[in-house]
Amino acid sequence: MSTASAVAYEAVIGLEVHVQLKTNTKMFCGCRNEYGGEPNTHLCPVCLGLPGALPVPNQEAIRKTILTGLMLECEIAPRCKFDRKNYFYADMPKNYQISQYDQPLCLRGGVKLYTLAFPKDVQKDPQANANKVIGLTRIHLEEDVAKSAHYETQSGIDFNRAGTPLMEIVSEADLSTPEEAFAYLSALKQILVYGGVSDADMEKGQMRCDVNVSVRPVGQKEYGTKVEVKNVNSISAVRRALRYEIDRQTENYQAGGIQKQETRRWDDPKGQTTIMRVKEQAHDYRYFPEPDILPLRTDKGLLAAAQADLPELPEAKKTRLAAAYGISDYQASVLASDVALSHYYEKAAALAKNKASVANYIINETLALVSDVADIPVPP
Amino acid sequence: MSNELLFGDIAALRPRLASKEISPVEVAEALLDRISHVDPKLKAYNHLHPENSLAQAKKADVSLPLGGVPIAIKDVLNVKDDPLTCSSKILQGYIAPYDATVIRKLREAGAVLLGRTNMDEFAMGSSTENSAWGVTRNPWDLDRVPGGSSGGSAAAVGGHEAFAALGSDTGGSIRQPAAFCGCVGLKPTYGRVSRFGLTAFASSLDQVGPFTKTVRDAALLLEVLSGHDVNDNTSARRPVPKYTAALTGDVKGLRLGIPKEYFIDGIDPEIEQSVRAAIKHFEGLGAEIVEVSLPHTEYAVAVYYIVATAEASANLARFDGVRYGRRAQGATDVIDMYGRTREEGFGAEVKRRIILGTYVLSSGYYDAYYNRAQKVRQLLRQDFEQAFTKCDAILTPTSPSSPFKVGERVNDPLQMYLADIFTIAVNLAGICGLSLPCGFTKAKLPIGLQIIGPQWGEETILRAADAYERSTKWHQERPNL
Repeated sequence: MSTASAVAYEAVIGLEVHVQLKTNTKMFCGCRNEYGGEPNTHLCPVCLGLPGALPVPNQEAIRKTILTGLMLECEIAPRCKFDRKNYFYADMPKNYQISQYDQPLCLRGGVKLYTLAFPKDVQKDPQANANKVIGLTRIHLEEDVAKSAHYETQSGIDFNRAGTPLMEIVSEADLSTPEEAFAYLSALKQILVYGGVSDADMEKGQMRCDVNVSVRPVGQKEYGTKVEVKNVNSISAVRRALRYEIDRQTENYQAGGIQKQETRRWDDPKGQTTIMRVKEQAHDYRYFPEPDILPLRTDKGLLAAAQADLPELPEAKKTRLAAAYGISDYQASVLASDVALSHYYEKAAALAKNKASVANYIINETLALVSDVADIPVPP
Repeated sequence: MSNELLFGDIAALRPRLASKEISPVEVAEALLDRISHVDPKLKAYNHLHPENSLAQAKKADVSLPLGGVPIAIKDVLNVKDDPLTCSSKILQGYIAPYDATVIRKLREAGAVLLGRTNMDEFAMGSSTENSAWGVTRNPWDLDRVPGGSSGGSAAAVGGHEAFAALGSDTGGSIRQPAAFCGCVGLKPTYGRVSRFGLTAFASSLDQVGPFTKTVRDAALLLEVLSGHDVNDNTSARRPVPKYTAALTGDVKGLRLGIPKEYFIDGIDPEIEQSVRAAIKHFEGLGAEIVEVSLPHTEYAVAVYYIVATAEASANLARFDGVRYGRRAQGATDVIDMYGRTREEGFGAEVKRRIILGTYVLSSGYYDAYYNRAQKVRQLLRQDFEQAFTKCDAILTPTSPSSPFKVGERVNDPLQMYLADIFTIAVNLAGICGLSLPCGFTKAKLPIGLQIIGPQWGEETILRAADAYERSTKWHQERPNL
C-alpha cells in the first residue's frame, strides 16, 4: 500500500470541441441562423423534422469548415459524405442527427500553442510550453439540436437552434495539463475568430467542449481508463474541471481504487464532477450513410473559394506587426491576439509618428479600462 | 357528362375542356357524384373535400396542361391545409403545413386535387390491408385486394373515380397495384421527380409517379412532375424531355430483353401466358426480342428488406409525439411517452419493419447485413447495366400472381413480400419501370406487363408501352361496379 501511494501520475487529455458556424442560414434549410430571438421563430418543415421535409446542405457552412481545415493545416478530404446518427432525444427533431461518421471533411492538422494563450498566472512558468503543437484527429460537419428548458411541471423546447451548422473538432490525446487545455482552446478560438468562421463564445454556447481525461503512472505507455466530462461551459471551467478530475482520478488510483469508463458532469459552482453514466449504458448510434444527401466532392472551385477567404493568421500577423511598426515581440503578440484589436492598432498607427508608443498606450492604458475592443469609446 | 368522357382518359378530356364543351366544374361534379356512389364499395379515398375541389375547378385555367383535370393524391404526400395521415393512427389529425413539390407542380399545371387515397401504413405493404382506416377493394372484384401500397390511388383510377392519381413506389408500390387494378402505373428513374413533401419510407428507393388510364396520360403527367428541385438534393439536374412527343407508335428495331430469371416456378400460368403473348405481340410490331440475364435477381427481395427497413427505422423515428401527431396519455416520463405513443400509433407491419431495420444497423450486425446488402445492391445495378448493353428495355410480368383475396396473406408476411419480387430490383437499381394492362385472367382479373428501362429511359418505355396499347384493347375494358 505504501509503495502504491508513492507512484506519481500524469494526465492524458483530449478535447472534442463543437463550434457553431457563423452562417446566414441553418445547415440544411433556409431558416435564419441567429443566436437569441423569440423562441420558435426561426423554423420550417426541415428543421422541425416534419414528414416529407428534406435536408439540403449549406454551401457556406461547407466552405467555412474547409477554411477552418486550411487554417489548422488539415488535409481536406477530396470526397466525404453525411451519415445519420440515430438516438431518441426530445431536442432532436428527426431523432437522428445528420453528422459525418467515417468520412469527415477535414483530417489531421494541429493547433500551435503560444505563451499568451496560457492562463495569465502561468505565462511565466516553464510549463507554458509555447511551441507545442496539439494534433487534430478530424473536423466534421453536423447539425445542432434544439434547446430545452425545464420548468416546475413541464419542459419547453426552442427549435431556433435546431439545425445550426456545427463543426466538431477532435484533438489527439496530446494535452497533458489543464493549462495546456486552456491554451489549446484559447488558441483555437483565436483562429476561428480570425477566420470569421465563428464567434466561438463559450458562454453563448457557440463553442462547447467535451473533455476526455485519464491518468497513468509516469512512465507507463498504456493509457489509463478514459473519463468523459460534460457541461464545461467556459475555457477557465475546462481548466478547473480538469484539475479536479485529474486529482480525483489520481487519488482514487493511489487509494487502490479502480476507474470505470464513464461520463461525468461538471458542476462549476460546486467545483466537482458527478457521474452521469457508465460505458455499459452507452448508445449504439447505428450510423449509416444519409440517403437524402449526395456524397460531397471538394472540387477545385470549392477549395479555391475557401482559400480566397484565408486570413492572415495570428502568428504571421505578429511577425508582420513587429517588423512593420518596430514594436516588440510581446507588444506584437498582444495586439495580434485579438483580430479586432490588431485592426484598431493598425488604424491608429497609420495616423501616428511613433508607432511603438501607440502600441504601448493601447496595451497599457486602453486595455486596462476595457475588456473588449468593441467597447473602446474612441476611434483609432 | 357522358360516360364515354367519364371513363375515358385525360387526352380525350382535354380538348373538350379547352373548347369549353364541358367545364371543369361539370367534370369535378360528375366525378364527385360517381365517388359518392362507388367509393362506399371501393373505399379508395381516406379524405375528400368536395367544396375545396369544386373551388379549384371553378378557378381552373383550361389552357394549362392539366387545366381542370381532377387528380387523386396518395395520403403520403403533403397537400397544404389538407390532412396527411399515411394511413396511420400516429398522424391522426395532422394537417400538412406545406405543399409537396409535385403538388405545387400539379397546381401550376391547372389540376384539380380531388382527395387523399388509402394506402398501406407508411407505404409498407402490397395489399393496402395495412391501413389504419380499413381495406380498399379491387374494382374488378370487391373480395380482392387492389395491391399496394398505393392501392387507393390504383383503385380510384381503375374504378374511374379519378382521371389520374399520384402514388409512391419504393419496391413496386405503383406498378403492382396498377397491374392489380388494370391501369397504367409509372415508377420514374430515381432523381427524376422531387421527393420533397413525400413522407419518406426508404429515401434511397422512394419515387413519386402517376397512375393513369392510358400510357399517353402517363407521359403527360410525367412531363408535369419531372425536373430538378432545389429542395431535394437527390433530384437530378437534367432537362425534362417532352415525353408525349416520344410516343411515335413505332417500335421497329427496338430491342426488348426477356430475363430468364423472371419466368420462374410459382408464377401464375395465366399471367405467364398473357405476358408471353404480349412479347409475341411486340415481335409482330417489329421489335426484336432478345434473351438477357439478371443473375442476382434471387437476392433482390432480401437486399430490399435490409436496405428499406434500415432507412425506414430512421425515417420513422420522428413520429414520437413530441412536436406533432398523436401523443399517448398517461406517460411517466419522455421515454415512456415515446414507447406508448409508438406502441399505440403504429400498426404491426410498421413495427415489424422498424425492428428489422434497427437490428440490421446495430453494432456488430451492420457489416453482415447492411453493408453486405449495399454490395449486392451494386451487383443488381450492374446486372441491369449489363443487360441494357444488349437491349433497350426489358419485359417481365409485373406481379407473379393476380389480385389475391382480402385476408388471404395477412398472416404470412413472407408470402406478402414475394408479391413485389418482379418490381423490387428496379428500385434497388434506381432505374425506371411501368406497368400496363396486357390481359385478363379467366376470372376477369387484370394482368400487368412490366416494361423496365435504364436510367433516364422513360421515353423508351413509354414509347414501347404506347405502341402496345395502341394496338390492343385491354385498356378499354371497364370494371363492373
